[in-house]
Amino acid sequence: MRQSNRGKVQKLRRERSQGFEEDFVTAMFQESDTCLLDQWTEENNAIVKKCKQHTDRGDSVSREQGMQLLTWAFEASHKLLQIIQGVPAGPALVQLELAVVYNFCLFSFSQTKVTEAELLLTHSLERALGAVHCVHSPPDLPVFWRRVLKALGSTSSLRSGCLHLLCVHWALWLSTYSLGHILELQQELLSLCETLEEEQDDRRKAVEGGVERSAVSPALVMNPRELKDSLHICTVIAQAAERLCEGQCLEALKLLQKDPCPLAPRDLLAKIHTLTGLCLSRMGRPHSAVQCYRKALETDVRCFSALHQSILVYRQLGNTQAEIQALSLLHSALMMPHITQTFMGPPPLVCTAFLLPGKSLSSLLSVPSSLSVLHCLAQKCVLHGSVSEGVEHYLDLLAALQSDQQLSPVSCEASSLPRLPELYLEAASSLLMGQRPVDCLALCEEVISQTGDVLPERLQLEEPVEGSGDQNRLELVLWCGAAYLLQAHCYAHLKDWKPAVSLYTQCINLLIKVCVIQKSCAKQGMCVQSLQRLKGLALACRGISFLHREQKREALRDLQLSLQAAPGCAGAGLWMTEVLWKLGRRQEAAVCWETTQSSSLPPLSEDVPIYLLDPQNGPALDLTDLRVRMEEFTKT
Amino acid sequence: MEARFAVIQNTLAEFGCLSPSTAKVVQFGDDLLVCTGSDEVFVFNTKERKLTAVLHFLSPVVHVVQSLDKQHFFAVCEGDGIYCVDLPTLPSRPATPPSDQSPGPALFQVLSNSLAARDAGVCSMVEVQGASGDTLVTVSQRDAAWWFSLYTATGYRKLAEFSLPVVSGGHRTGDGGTGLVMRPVLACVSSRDAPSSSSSLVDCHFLMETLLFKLLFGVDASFVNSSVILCGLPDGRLCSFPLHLQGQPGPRVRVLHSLEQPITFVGTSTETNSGPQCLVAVGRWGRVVLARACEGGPGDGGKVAGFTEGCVSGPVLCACADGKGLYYSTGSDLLVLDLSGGAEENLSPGENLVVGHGERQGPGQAMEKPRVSGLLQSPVSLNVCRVIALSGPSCNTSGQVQLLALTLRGRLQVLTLPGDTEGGATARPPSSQVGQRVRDLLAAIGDVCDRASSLNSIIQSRNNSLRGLNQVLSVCCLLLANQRAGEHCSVSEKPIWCHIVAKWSRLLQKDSLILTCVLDNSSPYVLEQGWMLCVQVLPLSCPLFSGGENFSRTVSFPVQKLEPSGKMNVSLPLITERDMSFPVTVKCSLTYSLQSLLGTEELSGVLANGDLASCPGLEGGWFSLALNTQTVDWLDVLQVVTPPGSDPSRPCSNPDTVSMDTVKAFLSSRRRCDGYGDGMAASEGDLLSASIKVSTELLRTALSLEAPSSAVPQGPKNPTQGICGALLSWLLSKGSAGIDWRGSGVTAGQQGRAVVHARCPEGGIVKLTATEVTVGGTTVKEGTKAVEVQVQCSEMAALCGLHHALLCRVQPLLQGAAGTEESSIGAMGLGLRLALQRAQALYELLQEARIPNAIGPGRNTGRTTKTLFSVYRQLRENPLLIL
Repeated sequence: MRQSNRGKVQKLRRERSQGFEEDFVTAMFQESDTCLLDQWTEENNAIVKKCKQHTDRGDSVSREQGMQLLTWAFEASHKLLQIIQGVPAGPALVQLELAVVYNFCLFSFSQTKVTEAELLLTHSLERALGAVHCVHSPPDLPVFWRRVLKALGSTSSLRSGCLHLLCVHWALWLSTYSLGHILELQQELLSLCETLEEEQDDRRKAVEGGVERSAVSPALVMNPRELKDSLHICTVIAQAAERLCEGQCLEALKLLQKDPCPLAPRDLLAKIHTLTGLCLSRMGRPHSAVQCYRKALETDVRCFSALHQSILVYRQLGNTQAEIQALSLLHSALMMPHITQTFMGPPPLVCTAFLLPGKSLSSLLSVPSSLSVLHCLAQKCVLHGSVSEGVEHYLDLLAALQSDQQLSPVSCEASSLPRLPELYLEAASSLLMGQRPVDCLALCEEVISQTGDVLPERLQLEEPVEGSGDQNRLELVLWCGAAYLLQAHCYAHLKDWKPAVSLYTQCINLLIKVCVIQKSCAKQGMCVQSLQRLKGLALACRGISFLHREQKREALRDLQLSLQAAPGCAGAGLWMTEVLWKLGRRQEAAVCWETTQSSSLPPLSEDVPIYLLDPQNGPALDLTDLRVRMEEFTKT
Repeated sequence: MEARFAVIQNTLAEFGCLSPSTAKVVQFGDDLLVCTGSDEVFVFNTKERKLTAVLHFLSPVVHVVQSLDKQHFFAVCEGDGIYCVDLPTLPSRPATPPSDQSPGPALFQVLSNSLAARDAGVCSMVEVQGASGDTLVTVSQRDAAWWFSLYTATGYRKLAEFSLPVVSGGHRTGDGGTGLVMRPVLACVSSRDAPSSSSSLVDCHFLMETLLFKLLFGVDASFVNSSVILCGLPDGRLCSFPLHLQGQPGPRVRVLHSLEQPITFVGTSTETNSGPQCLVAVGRWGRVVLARACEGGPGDGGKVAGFTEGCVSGPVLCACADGKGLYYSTGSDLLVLDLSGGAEENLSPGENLVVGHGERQGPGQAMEKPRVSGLLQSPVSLNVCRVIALSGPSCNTSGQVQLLALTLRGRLQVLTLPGDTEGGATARPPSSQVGQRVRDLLAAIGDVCDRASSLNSIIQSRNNSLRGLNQVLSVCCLLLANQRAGEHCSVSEKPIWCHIVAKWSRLLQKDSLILTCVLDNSSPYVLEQGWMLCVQVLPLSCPLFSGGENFSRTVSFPVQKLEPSGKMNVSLPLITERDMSFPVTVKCSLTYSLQSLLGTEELSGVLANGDLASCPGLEGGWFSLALNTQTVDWLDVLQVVTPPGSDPSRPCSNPDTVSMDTVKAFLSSRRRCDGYGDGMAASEGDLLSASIKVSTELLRTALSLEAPSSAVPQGPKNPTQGICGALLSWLLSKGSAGIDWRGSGVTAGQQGRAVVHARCPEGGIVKLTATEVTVGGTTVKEGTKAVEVQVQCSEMAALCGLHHALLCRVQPLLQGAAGTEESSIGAMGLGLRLALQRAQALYELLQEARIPNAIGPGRNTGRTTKTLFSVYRQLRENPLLIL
């Protein structure tokens, strides 16, 4: 009805305007239209040119300049787009508009204005649909895209522009982690990839064939094929990470090994290798996993997550030396000013962090902070051989903590450094192991001075202590007691028995103020275990010191108490045999020897802090002499 | 009991009115920065005692912080971010001492290149000193979390960011509905032993004794000598986080305590001799929390952090603390609360104390001990009102405490507190101070006077409104009662009444018909301003050219003030440009607008509320009460003319012009008659005529005339007129009271006859003749005396209208006489009804006939003529007799 009316009106108008005039006016409009079109195209091309120039200049452009340029380009293309969308859409205009939207969206990625980009993108597509007289657009995005591809695919001039926008939308979906949309449109995206390849080939052929492209075709700021490549690989990574987090390692592996894309950016390829390694290590193939991590590091040196994962694998395999090497490598890598390196140069138009926002991926590829790596390294060094190196690492760690520089720019809530007093104590005990008792004394003094004035006078606790407010107060006691213990160890090391005994006594006095009420026979918590071990150690060591001061009765009492508190501290059983022997209670000594030899003590768990280990270079007992004596006595 | 301090108030400058939530004053060397909540920051120099610069920002400034090096300051702009402004470069200070012609403040526009950090949700910030460069700490709200961000002070690179989820509900964010937005309060606390603590402290930086520091914030922060940032959130949580403590397990931000009300102030009272140092947090509604190191319970021993809660009467708008105590302003008074009082026996029984809510666990070894006995003493009033921002306190050279205060009215003041408070109440002040004190007291009295007068004026206006409302309600009741009683109650019973009279007057050489309404207030109430007299003129039939649309107009006259038994005269022209068709109904009503009582803003608020808007008859805050309705018909609008030679003293109009008009009217009527085309003569003898006959007896009864048997006829107006004259006079004056000049136009002819000449509004000639006749016929008995009223008119429409008006006038006569006259039943009534119906039908016929005439002249003239002629004939054939 309306159409027929419009037809009538047009007919009438044609009749009235008598042909010639009408044609002239239309021609005029078309003339100005094409002029505008050219003008806009040139404007778009100028923006693209300026951006490309900056990118080509590379590192000579600072990051700030690059960001400013991108902001400018974003605003300029936005303005241009608004102007273009003020005119009713026609086929020639739509082609330009699609190109401008493509550029605008890419610029918007760096400005993190994704929703705006998505809105304008769909709006432009609706306009394009309107231009080919396809009015109704469904709200569901995949269905909408199928309609768009169907409607615009037949028009060759609009087809490529529309496909480029599909690329952009793909990127938007990745950045908003809408993997569902990508999965739904899998077929379309696959055919898109093929088409873009063909397009590239065609263009190359055209260039080789010497065919001049029309001067005013709208330029694109990024080759869609390049964009497609990174999108493709990012999709694989995101999907694999999702599978891996769900525990479907085999499927993740299948995804990752499907089609390697050698031309993809290095960091993305390294991510693929790392994820493959993760799959393998979870499937119980640690050696293959290490191979993958190595490949990842070869591809991209900055793939720290691969290094971190290989450390975990080495730890699992028990390869301590390799673990220590990898740790020191990771630490030095983290300490390198790599962060500022990435700050140099212009920012990339589409950075991978933007395309891979998934939490599962970041949790899989997370790297601990440099401080916690350093702590781990120091601990491993001290425990496995190279004590002096470990001491240095500990001192570095303490220095780093003392300085108020914020080394990690990101929030590191999940980082796992122990509490500061514990670090001090660990460092102090490593100093003692490294034969530096004076330094050890100083560090312990610091702990004592910091904790001394806030210690509770008495402490009555109920199991479980962990998680309750009492844990803090118990920890304070433990730290202070351990500091006294270490100081006493130092004096024992120096064979200065008197202060050693008095410090051990101070430690014991502190510890006996804590009264733990056992409610159930559940396993003791970590804090209480430490308390018992500390008590046992202090008593045993005091007993040993008494023995060296020839106070044999006191020594015997302390060693007995130590065995009651925590069996097996500092060789208390053997020392007791010795004391009994020296006291002339040979029968008892023999019994004690027997029980000590027969009882197999459970090995100390890994969790026991360094400062609660048996003192390594304390007073030693001549075991062979004792054994000979004992064996002779039992024979007789 | 309360020691009255005489506070010296020294006003430095005045600014405009301030927003209490964002007003700030910051001391900056010799300069004071005043932030008023707008997008301007004022720089006031205390030495020159004048405003030196005004800094204009792009968005409202909500917080101002001095930098640590005292070279620049940071401004937190709402919805924008943090600006860093270099102060020394700003105003080019005049080298010469200020003279009278010293230049005014320099205006500086702070542009976006001074933007240090962009963060749209930023609420507050603080700068913290560090060995490897200073750090900016900001707090902002976004995505349902409070975000604490750390920036380097040089280059403003973001270092770290951590969050604390917003607790929704359970706290009042607004200030009792006034929409006051509370902002987080930031403070930086350092341990006294920390090496960096030696530098002089700026605002929001506090030193704390090491023991309390460790108890409150844990030993870890103390190990690395890290400063701790304290933040009092609007939801009442007091949280803290160490600035430089990396990689520690657990969440970084810890909640120390919750005040359960927006936190206004966080600080420490510096250590004094009389008591231990403490951490103070003050809530908006007056809750004060003190944290101190104290002995643990009997079970544990050792030191613990004890939290003491107390209450002062809120709201606390702003506060600051020093060794002496906590200074806080409630808006109506400035008070000082002694925090140092460790002596618990000082507790007065009347003090408002809140006891801790059971045991709560603090961080580290800090365990909160609820203390039953509070350490708060009762606050002492300083008698300074309306302080909304405080800065300081500082000590002047003579050891007196000085506070910088900003009042609600924008007054920047230095408050000097007397230094020695112990003996202040008893010792006689030196004579030099007496004068000062008197001055202060006078100033305080002046302040109170200001407040009292403003309150008085508010009360006055409220009283006036109430009185007005009372009057309005009384009037409403009266008029509503009238409406219910209906129209039949007589005029004299109505307390408020409107007389409506249409009369001709001469304006600008042109006669015009004026409708005069007299509002008569015989009620005991005053009609105040706000009442309006609305007169609605509503034609009974629509004019032809308006296309059937009912054409009415309403004119409103505001009533200024109408005292009891007062009258208000208003008049409006009845005949407008558009031809008014008669009869018209005039409706008078009184309307009242609530706007005059409430004011525009309040009214729109009340209406938007929806309570009133849903009331019927209150649309837009107006309500309307009908007074009375009257019809103005053809008889009312006749312009009575006196034929030449009659009484020349008549005040109506110049006889010359009247005669001229008559001639004109005659000519025009003649011309119109020519238009009919059939050559009907329109001389006086050939005027169209219609007549009714009314029984003389009826008339006599109705007009209360005496029988003609009495020798001297005594009509109400003109006793010589006889019954005919009386009838005409009555018809023309509608029987209403008052002097009617039109009655004098009646010329009594010979006995039993009276004539009135008049003109109708269109200009046609009208002649009304009343003749005494004797009639006989089938319906009435022979020899009945009657008065025949003959209407002669040159225009058909006027004739019909007049005839209709006559019948309408006579009809109530009949009704009124029906009760008394036995004879007026049966056939006569029937006949009258028939006659009336016929007249009505004729009138409609006539209107129909006029339609084609209006559409286009010259069309269907034949048919129109025919119709008109039949009407005419019918009229003539059926003379009416009314008994």
